[in-house]
Amino acid sequence: MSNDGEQIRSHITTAWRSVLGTDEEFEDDDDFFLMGGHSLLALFVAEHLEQSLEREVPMQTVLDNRRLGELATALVTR
Amino acid sequence: MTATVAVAHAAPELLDGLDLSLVPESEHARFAKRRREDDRLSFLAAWAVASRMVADRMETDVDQLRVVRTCIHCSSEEHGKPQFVDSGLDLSLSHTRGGVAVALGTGCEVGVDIERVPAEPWPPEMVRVVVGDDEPIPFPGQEVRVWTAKESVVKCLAVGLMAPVKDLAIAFRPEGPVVVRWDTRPDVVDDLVLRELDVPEDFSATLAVRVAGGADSLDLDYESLT
Ligand SMILES: CC(C)(COP(=O)(O)OP(=O)(O)OC[C@H]1O[C@@H](n2cnc3c(N)ncnc32)[C@H](O)[C@@H]1OP(=O)(O)O)[C@@H](O)C(=O)NCCC(=O)NCCS
Repeated sequence: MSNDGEQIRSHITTAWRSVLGTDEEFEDDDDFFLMGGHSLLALFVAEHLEQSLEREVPMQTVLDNRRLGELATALVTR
Repeated sequence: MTATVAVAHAAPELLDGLDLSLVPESEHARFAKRRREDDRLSFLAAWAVASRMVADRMETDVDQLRVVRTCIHCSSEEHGKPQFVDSGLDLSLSHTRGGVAVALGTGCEVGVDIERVPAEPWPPEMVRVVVGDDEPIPFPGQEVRVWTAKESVVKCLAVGLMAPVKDLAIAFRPEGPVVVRWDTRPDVVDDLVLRELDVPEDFSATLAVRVAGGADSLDLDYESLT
């Protein structure tokens, strides 16, 4: 993954850890909803990412890209 | 028309009796994929409660029940609002850490959502994502009640959160929450009935029912499993 991708991945990890209340390491294949996430928390993730990336992150992007790797790719290509 | 609602909380005593044999086989793999213990427990509890209620009504055993899903957006059979085949019932269920809610509708569509009330009030930017500018914030610190109301509606109509939540405006009147506007489906607003469910104070849960004729054509039957 590019530098950009790595950075976004790290922002996602921070957001997931914060909303899931854990300090776990996540793999690209980890699915937010199977790690204990649900839609309200997904909304918090979107909000968290908007703050850290300083750009719009639609809730739909977080819902449609449930795995860490998918979400990172979606946010890099946006 | 009757909507039957059961609200259950996944307390440890409920856990004792819970195992995968209480849940249709189609859900076993979905259970196995869940990583967190509390999440697995509430998933199991929700599906066990729903399956028992449906099996009772169909006068059959849980292992005879079949569940299907079809996404109304992309027609995938991997996700979307689940239904029990040949039950004649509309199903909605919700599971969160420590609490589950199940709704079954006969002659109507149902949607249910249960969430934990967060320990801290939502930050203002979160409130702005969920609550529209034209929606007075009814209970500062309890915006999650607005959320469960909205999510119950989007689950009732099977659209899920593909519909922007701010397109949906809820007013909290003395008699309870009411949908006052839904830009995504203005045609159904008059047929939507909302009820906040009686759950412990650290939870918020709302039932939405779409029934022709609105509240006057609806009977609610609570099956409390707490
Ligand atoms: C459905 C949704 C609102 C669930 O919210 P949540 O707070 O995470 O979880 P809840 O516990 O309240 O509800 C989960 C249950 O809703 C039900 N559900 C799933 N999709 C649904 C839909 N489209 N409509 C109604 N109910 C749905 C399922 O029973 C699910 O539980 P299960 O996975 O154990 O079967 C949310 O995940 C969502 O909108 N998903 C759909 C996204 C979508 O449509 N994507 C389009 C892909 S083409």
